Amino acid sequence: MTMNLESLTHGVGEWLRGTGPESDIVMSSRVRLARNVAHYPFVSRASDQDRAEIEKFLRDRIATAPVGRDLDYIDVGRLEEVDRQFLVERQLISREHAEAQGARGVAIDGREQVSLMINEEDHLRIQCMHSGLDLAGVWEQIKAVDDQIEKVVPYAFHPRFGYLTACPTNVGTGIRVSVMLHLPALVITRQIDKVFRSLHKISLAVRGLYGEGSQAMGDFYQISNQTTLGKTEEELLEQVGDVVPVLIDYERRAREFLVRETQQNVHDQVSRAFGILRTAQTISAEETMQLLSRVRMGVLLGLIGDVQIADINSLLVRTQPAHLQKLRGVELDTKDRNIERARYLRQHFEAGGGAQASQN
Amino acid sequence: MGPLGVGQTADELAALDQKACDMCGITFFEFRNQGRLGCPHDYVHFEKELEPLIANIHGATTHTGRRPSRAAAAGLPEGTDELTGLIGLRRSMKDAIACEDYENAKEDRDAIRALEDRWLGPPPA
Ligand SMILES: [Zn+2]
Repeated sequence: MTMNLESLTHGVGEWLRGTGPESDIVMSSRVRLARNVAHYPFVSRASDQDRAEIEKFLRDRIATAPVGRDLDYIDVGRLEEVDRQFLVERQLISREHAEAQGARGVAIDGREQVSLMINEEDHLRIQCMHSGLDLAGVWEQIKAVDDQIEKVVPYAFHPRFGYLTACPTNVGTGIRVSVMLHLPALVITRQIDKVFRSLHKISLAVRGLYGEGSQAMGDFYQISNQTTLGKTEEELLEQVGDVVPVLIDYERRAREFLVRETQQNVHDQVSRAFGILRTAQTISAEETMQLLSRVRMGVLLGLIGDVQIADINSLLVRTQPAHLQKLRGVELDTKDRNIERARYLRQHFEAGGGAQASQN
Repeated sequence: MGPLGVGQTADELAALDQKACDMCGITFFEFRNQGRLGCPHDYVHFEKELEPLIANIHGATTHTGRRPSRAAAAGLPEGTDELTGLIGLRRSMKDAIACEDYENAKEDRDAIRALEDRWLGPPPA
């Protein structure tokens, strides 16, 4: 079964729903498991024929598992570049998966919580994501999916090293636990670097919004575990989960400090950000994200009224290059995109914000 | 880094780099260059070389998390290295056919079928 990407364009996806516990600061909770089929070479050494066979083997087998019935399959190898980019912006596939070669695909559930990437760096990457802080819920869901697939797919396993992966950095549990946080007040008060240094000390990794190598955009940061072997999945979930309430507390205090000590400054900053978004004639994706981040904080601090958080969240993804082009139904170069993005933002806010955008 | 410890001579290192996996054919040199392994059997074939590398990355070398339950239920070993043997058998059969050595090709094919029956069961309906 194949999926119509157009139907996704009008929602915003799970990670931007803006609901769930602590969703003023925690955007989403995500767990990813790396798995490989025992009887094929890893993807980087697989021939074109191997890759096609791996894809078929996994598709056929997963289709027989209960979870398979709820999934739509997208043949990523056949997609146009803008559609692959769209799935990256949506966080349903990785940038590496979008840019790879050969037979590959992704299976996605209707709520965009579960996605199964086939032939990424590993044969299978199972991902599960919930809005807000909900690592326990994500873990329960992904464990059930993994169990179902394990019944029909012989995962490469070594009695001592655990689940075998193409890169030894993922071997063992194959688990990557990530929480995405919005930390504008820690950035404004210049405490963010200190916080990150202390996270590195307890071997947690910090990345920007779109994963490995990308700069943090719009004050959104992903915290995740760095090691995968020698600890149980629950211990690794805890390693990430335990630090999140601390970060939430720091961010809340920094927000309170900003309101208490610099009320006029911060009010001025968020109002100017809102003003630019409503009136700009041309604007880049990066600037848009930065300004939306500040407006998001302003709404949460009660400094900007008449705007919903879910609405800001939806703009965060819809002003990304591929989303913008899908929404407008035309391919645009960077310059035209910037003009179109500004027009989209103006129209959106003129129309009273939420009305047209929050139909998730 | 990793297995390239003190006291190894240049010749020993060169020999280690040329050591190739009997399933996928990757050499340790290729792995060191690309940072990606070639197949699951590499964890068996290069176990000694990988162990210090894994200890360095994770601070541990023994998995303590979830384990597959399917193998036990089907009376198969927990480790899947026997099934990974299919990679080498497929390669061997291809080579045999290329040399028109049909006797060996047939042997390989029978061994492949036996492994598939044992590990993969009937294809799902
Ligand atoms: Zn190999």
